[in-house]
Amino acid sequence: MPASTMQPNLDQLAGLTGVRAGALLRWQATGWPDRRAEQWRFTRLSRVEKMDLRPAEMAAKQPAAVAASLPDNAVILSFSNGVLDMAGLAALPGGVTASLLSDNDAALAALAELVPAAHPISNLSLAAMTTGLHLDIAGTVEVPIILVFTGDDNGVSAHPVISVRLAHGASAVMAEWHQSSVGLSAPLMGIVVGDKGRLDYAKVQQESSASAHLAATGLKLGEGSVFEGFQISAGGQLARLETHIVLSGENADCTLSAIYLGRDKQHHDITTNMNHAKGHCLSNQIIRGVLDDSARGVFQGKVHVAPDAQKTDGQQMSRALLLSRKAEADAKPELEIYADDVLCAHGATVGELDDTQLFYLTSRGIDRKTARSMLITAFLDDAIDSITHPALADMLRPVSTAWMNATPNAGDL
Amino acid sequence: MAATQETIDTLQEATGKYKYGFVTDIESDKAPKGLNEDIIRFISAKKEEPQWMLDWRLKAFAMWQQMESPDWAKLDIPPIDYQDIHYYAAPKTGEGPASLDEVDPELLKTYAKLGIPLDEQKILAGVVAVDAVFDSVSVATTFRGELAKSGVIFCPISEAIRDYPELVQKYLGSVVPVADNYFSALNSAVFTDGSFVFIPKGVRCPMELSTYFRINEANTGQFERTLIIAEDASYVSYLEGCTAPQRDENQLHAAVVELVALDDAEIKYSTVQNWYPGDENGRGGIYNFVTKRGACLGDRSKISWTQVETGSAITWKYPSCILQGKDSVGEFYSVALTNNCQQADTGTKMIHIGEGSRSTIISKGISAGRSQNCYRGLVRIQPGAENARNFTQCDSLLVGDKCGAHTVPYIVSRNPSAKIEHEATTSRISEDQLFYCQQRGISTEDSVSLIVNGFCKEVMKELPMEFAVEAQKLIGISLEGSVG
Repeated sequence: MPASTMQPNLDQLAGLTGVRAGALLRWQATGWPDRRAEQWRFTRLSRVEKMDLRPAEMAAKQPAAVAASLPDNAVILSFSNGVLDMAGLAALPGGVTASLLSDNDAALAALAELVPAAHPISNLSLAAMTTGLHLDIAGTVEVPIILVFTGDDNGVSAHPVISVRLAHGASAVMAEWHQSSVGLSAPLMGIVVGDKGRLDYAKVQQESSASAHLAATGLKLGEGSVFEGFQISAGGQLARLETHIVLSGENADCTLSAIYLGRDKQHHDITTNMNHAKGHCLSNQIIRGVLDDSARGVFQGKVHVAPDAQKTDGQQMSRALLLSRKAEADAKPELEIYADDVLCAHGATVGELDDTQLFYLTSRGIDRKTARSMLITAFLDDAIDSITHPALADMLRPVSTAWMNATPNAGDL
Repeated sequence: MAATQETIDTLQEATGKYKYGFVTDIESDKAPKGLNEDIIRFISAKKEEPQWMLDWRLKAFAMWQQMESPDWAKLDIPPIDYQDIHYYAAPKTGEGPASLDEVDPELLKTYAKLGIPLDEQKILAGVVAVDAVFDSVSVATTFRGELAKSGVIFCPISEAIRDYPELVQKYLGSVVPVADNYFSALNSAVFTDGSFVFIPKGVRCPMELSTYFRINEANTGQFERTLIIAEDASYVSYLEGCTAPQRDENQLHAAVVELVALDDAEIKYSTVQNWYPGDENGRGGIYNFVTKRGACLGDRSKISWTQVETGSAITWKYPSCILQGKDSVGEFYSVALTNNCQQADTGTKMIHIGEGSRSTIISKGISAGRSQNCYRGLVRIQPGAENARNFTQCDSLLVGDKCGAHTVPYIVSRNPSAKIEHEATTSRISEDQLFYCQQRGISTEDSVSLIVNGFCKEVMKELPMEFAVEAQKLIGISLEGSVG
């Protein structure tokens, strides 16, 4: 496709240098993912390609109110149309230092290395960066830091680029809350957890029903570090949450669970790439999906074990529940293993609610609708129960409850 | 100190594993190297084919020229020069042998060495009927008379094209279309021989049918085509074996196998693939690029694939089932063992179209040496496949720390009443298991062979008796040298 007709319209980007200039060249060379690209076989972007978009240059006048039960003590950094409201930085707790990536090409380069150079959307977001925020975290930061993304312009593509670096032994609690009404929301996150560090992390994708959400997250875990992450994809028309994790030091422990909730014609894609580069690491992923109406859910999860990564324990389980005749679930769990002394397993199932379980509940006088709702909740709880941080758990549970209550078909097929 | 002959022999015994690596010295009739329309006309003329067959081949060739070699598999395939291959090689004889007495004694000796009985007298009557394919031609098919009594047709496909054109025209390319993939198009253009099986309505084939493939000539490719049709309520069990001489060059084997099962029919297809795998440095060996697919067209029909893959330098093979009939059943049992520098990318596709269709996939991958072994499979549930059921289990075993084991399953479900379960594990032989065997006086190598055979048991028990014994030995042999 000629660059002049390619969306989003990047004409306003002139005179880029350094990392962003390189990313722009790569984006212009590849454009949107190739239809035949294996990584994108279940998720087609033709609808996004046709949108008339341009990256936002400034924040919306008034950040929209967020209908969320965010933790009371949380520090909120507010992004509107992908642009950060700088005033929020003043409230950051001690131990957190904020700076801008536009002034720090070295940090931007380090972030770019956390996602594959051939990933088109990351290149687009680096080039079209609406705000580049860098957070350095040292020591123990107990106050949750919550990034809230809103927006109100369907002609806008939002490209917030955020890099987070936890120093040796640092710990923090962070969350991303996406609730915007923009054409395309394409956040690029890069997180590095230093040796012995710990990050509790949650992401909620509740974009408006017309939005597309194409997120890329790169994660690097140091020796003895712990990452506990959870993602919910519930909003948007088309959403892909793609995460690349590198366990780069021994004894790192990574949990990255997710649920996706689809209705109408929504398309949810959870893609993970867990790379065990060093031995003695643990990774665990629990994925649950519930699909109603004509929704489609995709889970692609790869566990890669490098030649010397002995004593690796990599576990992954994905299950999808189809509530409607028109729903579709696709899964591609993948193991790529080059070391022999490992314990790796994945499982995947797709099916509907178990009739025997329904019968058991209804035979005890519970009406069918309630029974179904109980079973779906229990199904999702398998994943949600893996969140150990109480404030994050309290923030995430209402999202799935709200979805359950709003689903007409949750009562019957 | 110079090595004694005994040491050399022992070493030879321990490392020169491939016991089918000999070459038969026999005069052969070859087409010149290269691939073009004239070669295809030459093959077609050699086979005395009707015009429609030649047209079909030429059309396939035109399609192949437009296609590209697939690169999605987890394989490192060196470029293949398709003009540097003889597409036709046949042992020189006058007319086709009318009976076994006219078959070249050298050929009979070859098959005797391979342990394949071509002499009907010498084996217990009614055990296995064999079609022996040597390079590009079928040299002998046994028990044809016996089979004909029950209406079963078992003959080389080149003969079927002449004698049963209506059957061949109806089914050839119906399961694997010519342009299905690069290698199926190539095969359609240049296939030389293979077996044709037709089991009429209600007949249970009185004996197991078997084809034994042998590549002998240097610089040749083998492109065989097998077509099995099982009419309503019939049953057949078909076995396939393959070997090739030990050579430093790579040779191409690109076969197409099509199975058709009508109402209540059952086809059981077993393969022990033991093409020459190349030496321990990865020199030589067969490229085994095969398209195998069965269509369960009829209600309650069943197709079962069992494969033991120990040979070939590179394997690219996905025996699949299209489960179109109501309550049809597809099965795939596979053991894929790679050692030294072998690469295998193998698995299956189960396409559920019919209501109540069921499929089971059991795959056991064993990697040793510096080999790469990948399971790749697809389970697709179409919207109409009400109450379809799939169970998949893929286990990988790593022997040594220089090899790789990979699992790439694809699951697509478009019907809520369908139930799909997939599980995969990767591990190595545990120290406990080894210790247990060793403290009972079993050597390390025998212990590994024992444990691996236990790991594969679920698949081995699906093999017909004759094959199971051979397959077990084969696994032991292929693993030798991988421990210690």
